[in-house]
Amino acid sequence: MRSDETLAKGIQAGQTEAMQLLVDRYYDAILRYVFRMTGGRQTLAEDMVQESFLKMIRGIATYDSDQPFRPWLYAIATNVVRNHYRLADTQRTISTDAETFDLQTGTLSPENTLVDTESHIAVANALMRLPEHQRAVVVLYYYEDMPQKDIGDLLGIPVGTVKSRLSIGLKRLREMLMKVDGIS
Amino acid sequence: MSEFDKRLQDVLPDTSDDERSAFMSLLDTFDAPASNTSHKAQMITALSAHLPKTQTRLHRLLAWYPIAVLRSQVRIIQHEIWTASALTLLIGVVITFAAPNPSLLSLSILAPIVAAVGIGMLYDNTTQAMLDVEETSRASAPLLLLARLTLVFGFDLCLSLLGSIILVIFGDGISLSALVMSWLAPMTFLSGLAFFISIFLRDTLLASSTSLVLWVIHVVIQGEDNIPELLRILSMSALSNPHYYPYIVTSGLLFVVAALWILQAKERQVYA
Repeated sequence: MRSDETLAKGIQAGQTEAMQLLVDRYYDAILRYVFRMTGGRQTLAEDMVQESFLKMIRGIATYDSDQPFRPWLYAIATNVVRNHYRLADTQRTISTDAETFDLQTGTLSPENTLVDTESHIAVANALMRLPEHQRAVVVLYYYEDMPQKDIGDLLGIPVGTVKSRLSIGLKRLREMLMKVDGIS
Repeated sequence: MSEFDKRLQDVLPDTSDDERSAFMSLLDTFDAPASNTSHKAQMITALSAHLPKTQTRLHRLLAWYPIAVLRSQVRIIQHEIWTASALTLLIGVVITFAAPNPSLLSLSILAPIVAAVGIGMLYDNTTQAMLDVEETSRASAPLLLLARLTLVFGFDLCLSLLGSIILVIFGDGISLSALVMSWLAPMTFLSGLAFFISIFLRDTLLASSTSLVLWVIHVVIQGEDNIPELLRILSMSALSNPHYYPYIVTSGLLFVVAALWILQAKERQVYA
């Protein structure tokens, strides 16, 4: 199997096949990441995925194939999310109720209980209440299973800062969810 | 305890196993959406239009910096130099076929001076196109000049070599190495001299004519016994002596190095 870095070099040379393979490989992962970063809004997440890949192709000339591709792509997606909230200034106006969550696009099956659906929305809203820099670390670490060093590399911060953001972010998340779900 | 639970314990050390387990279960309810295949397909189609243009090896070679500098200088060099050089050397080859005396081959006489005259005209500060490129390019003036020198000398060298090969194939008893050295050594020397004078004295006409005059004196006086001492010195008989060829070529190259050094110093002076 061709490595991500080899495929990225292929894109630099204008190969459509390399682009298709790389998009196919990372589409789901970036969608998952952006979906959680936007509090479960799938339409917005899909737009952001498209924008992320577009930025990746436009900036492919600046990519150094000696560096790992995955953190580079995630860094682009993180910037897309960050710029969206910065430009739209929607951070302060995020609704705290279920309106922010696109229920019809989630993966919840009709058999899911009402409790599961409520939990789903509660986690999404709690994540959205975290500051963006803490949310990114929590999502990458917990949901994307990314090592702390890679998170530091892609966000351009030291591992120590990753650890502190993660600790604060998870504690705040837990506190918020405790109120909803009564974990204690 | 799972690997992730262990890691979570490091981050949330003040929580019990049950609390962490309940917390993780809650986090896990936030499922990601299923892959939207039609959106992915549409996106790939849209992205194809933004891919960088396919670069062939030829494109990459042409974009390579040294080649790019050489290409930029092709249009700067006066077109007459190419045409005049090619025509003169062609005439040299034709006349050599009819020459009764193989020791006085027209190609050996013409090739050095064609190159020297062309190279003497490269550093022309009055040509606007040259000035424009030198002022706007990130390449230094000596580098651009060296590129022009390489182009013109290379062009004359290739033509002379081609002419020599034709003469060897169709001529009678001519040695290729002897023929090539008979014009290569004086060509290098006279070109280097013309290049040096054009930069040192900032006079392209003087540069070309000095090399031309010296070469004419050399050709005319060669073999003559009763000539004044001054003319004998000026004729530089060593130019046609195979024994001195390595020294002559070296002298020509030293002239080029000295000229570029002077130009670099002049440039530093201007920017200081």
